[in-house]
Amino acid sequence: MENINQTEPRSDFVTKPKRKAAKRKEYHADNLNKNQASSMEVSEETAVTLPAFPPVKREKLDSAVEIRKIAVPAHRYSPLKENWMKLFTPIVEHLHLQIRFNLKNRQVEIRTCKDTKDIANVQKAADFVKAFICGFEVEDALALIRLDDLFVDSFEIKDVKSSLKGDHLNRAIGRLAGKGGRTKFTIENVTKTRIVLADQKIHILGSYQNIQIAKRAICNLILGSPPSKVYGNLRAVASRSSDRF
Amino acid sequence: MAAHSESLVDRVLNEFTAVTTKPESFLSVQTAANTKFKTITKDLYNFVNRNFTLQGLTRSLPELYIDGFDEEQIWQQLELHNEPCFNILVKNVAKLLSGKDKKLTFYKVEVQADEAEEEEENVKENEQDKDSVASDLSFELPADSDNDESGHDDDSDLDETDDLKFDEYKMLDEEREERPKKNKEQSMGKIRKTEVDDEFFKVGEMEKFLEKEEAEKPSVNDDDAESIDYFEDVLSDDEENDTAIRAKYKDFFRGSIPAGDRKSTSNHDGEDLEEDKDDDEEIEDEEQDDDDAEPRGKRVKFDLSGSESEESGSESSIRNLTKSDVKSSYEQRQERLKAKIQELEDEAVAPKPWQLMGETKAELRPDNALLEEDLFFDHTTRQAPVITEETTKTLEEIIRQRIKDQAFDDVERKIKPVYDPTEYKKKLVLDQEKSKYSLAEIYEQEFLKQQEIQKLEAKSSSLADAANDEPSDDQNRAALRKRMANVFAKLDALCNFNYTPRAAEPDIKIVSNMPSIVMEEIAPVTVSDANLLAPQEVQDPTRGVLKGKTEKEKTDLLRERRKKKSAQRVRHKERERTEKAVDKANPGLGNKHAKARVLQNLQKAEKEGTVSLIKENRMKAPKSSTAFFRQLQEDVSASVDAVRQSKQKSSLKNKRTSGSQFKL
Repeated sequence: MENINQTEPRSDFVTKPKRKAAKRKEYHADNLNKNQASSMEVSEETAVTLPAFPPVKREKLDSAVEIRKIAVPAHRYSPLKENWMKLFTPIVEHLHLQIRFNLKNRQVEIRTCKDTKDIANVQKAADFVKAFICGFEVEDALALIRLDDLFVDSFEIKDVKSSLKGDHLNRAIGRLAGKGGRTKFTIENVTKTRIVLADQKIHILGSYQNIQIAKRAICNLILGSPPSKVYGNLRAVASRSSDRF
Repeated sequence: MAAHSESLVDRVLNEFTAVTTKPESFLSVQTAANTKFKTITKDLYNFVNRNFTLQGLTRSLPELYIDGFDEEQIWQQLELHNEPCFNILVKNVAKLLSGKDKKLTFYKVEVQADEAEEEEENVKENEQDKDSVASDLSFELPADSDNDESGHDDDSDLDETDDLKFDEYKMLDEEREERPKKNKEQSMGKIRKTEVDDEFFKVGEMEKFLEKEEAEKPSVNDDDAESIDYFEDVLSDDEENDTAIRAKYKDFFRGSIPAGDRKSTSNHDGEDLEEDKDDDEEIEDEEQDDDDAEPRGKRVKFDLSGSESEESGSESSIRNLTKSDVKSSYEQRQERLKAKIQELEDEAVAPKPWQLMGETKAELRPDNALLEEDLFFDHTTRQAPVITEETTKTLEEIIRQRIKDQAFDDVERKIKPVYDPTEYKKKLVLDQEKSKYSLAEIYEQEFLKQQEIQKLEAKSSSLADAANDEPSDDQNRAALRKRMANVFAKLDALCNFNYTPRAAEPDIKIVSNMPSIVMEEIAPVTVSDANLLAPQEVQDPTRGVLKGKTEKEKTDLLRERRKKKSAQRVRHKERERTEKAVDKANPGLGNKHAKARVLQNLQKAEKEGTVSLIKENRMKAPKSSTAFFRQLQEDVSASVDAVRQSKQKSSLKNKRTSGSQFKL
């Protein structure tokens, strides 16, 4: 590997290839020196800390292989193992991509190959897997591949009402779910979305409009309105939206 | 010969009685009696055969053979003799009776004691069959007649010996039947004797008469003739009046009018009438003589057609025969007419049959009479249709025609029109279950639905028929179709439209709630009371049953209370809202509500005792602020002093006083 900045002369001793971070520091210092040399009036206080992005390696540019990597948390590990084939099949067959699970990193890796027809599929696949990792079921997440304009929106309960703590928070979560998940299902059915309640995080999968409607309903529930009221509003809004649709 | 016969008969009788004295002996076979009986019969037979011979008896045996003959054979021998003998005898008797030359005389017999067994010596050629041993007939032979009677005419003879005749004629009844019944019919046997019997009247005679009359009923003419007879007697002859004036007991209670003469009168023969008259006169004379001597002359006699003398009876009977048998055609016609008239009269007079008696119940009708009647009555129920070939044919024709026309009477589905937007909301069903379909599937379904709708729209937009797919780019055809539809719509509107009017929508009308008297005053004509409020708009109609105060139950009272409370609440809320709004506009004590509220609170506090109001007994209201505050200070200090004094007073009261203090 060739180092772009050669500061030390070649010797018999094989220089150890420097780590990236070290290289970055050197680069940074050089730039600073250069700047200091050029500029006259530079306040010492303003130390510009630009992120050090060394230029992309050539291989990577030339190869034209898109890679996406999605981290898998521990609690989604076993569901992933169970549903691996269901995940695997549509990506490989329909999207013509390569997918693997990196056991060391605990990451799902997706990359294009020669057969890939559309580069955008990589992003779709990535979103698909991400949705699964969030907590959605494979069939629901599959809609992301089939339809273009579906999104996943995530937020926390604290974003809505930060003053909820302890029992109140639990009660809010309970309100969201409803008895046997009724409230959540109602919202899902009316707005044609899928909702995942992961303790304090809320994920919503659906089209933009429907996400908004569901989000509003959920926020109202968090803020404390009774479910019956929320239903009423939902019905009104949903009828309007259905007519439009 | 007579003596001989007598002796023989005696002997026979004696022997017979000897054998039959003990009838109980016949329980067992009596051979001796048997031979005795046979010898007796043989003797009788031989005697009779030898001495009394009849002409025409050819077949009878000269003597009765009993040796070695069976009972049956002996009987047959007797029968052989008896039957032709019997016939001959009957003929002889008939001859005698009808014969004019020969006259039979009968002797009077006393009824009570006579049981003489004398033979009929006066009867000529009257051989009686003595061979019949078991004869129950007892002959009451005539005794010597009274000399008084001998001088009478035959008629009187006959009349006097009425009783006799009854007995004797019993034997000759059978012969008598051959003769015309009219004249010779005789009710049989003895007359019944009862306690009621009188010189005038005998019950038995009456009964006999009635029986005879009843038997004669078919021949009504006699009665009619008789009834008519009287009238005619009265009307036709003037001479009768004289007789009526001169009528006496004897006239009414004549015992001697023969039936034959009566009948002669019925034939409207003038000669007969005169004859009868003569006869009557004769009889009158006779009876006048006989009044005292013979009570019989006064006896009530019933007209018995059989009670006439043989001779005169036979004469009159012959006369009657000739007159009644030969009736002219006119008479016959008259008879028939009379019969018809009688029939019609009876019908008219008799009670009507049940058919003509209006409303009849089952009890007034005979059983099952209605079954035999042809009845007309209204059928209130509709009869079931009779299914014939023709009916089915017509039905099928109709069906076929309908199918050809495609004019079916299908029920069209009606849709309830939705008025309220809330109804649309209700249609949205909130599904509270986890959806069965995944998101992808839901979107898939929606997509497909959309596609279908688009297809349908694409199809329906063109005016081509659904059946035949015509190219829609044929503009002329489309335009033509449009115009045709227009024309047809107009034609339908003219004749065949099923017009359904629009649903009635409530339209807004402004009504001024003025009292009706204002409206009904002499006001401009354009003002009408239709604009006024209806009573239900003035006050809500009372729902449910009205109950008085005492009728109300606990539930009713509570209901009313709740109603009242809720109304109060609503009112209170409204007030609060307005006050709030007002308060917002004019905060603090800027508005009247706030002021009122403060005053109220103050009063409440005073009542409770937390606040004590300073008494306002100043004469004049302070004009300046300094004066006001000075006044206020004074008042406060005064009140404080008052309070202190009251405390002191109380303390004074509470202080204990001892008598030592008051000691001087």
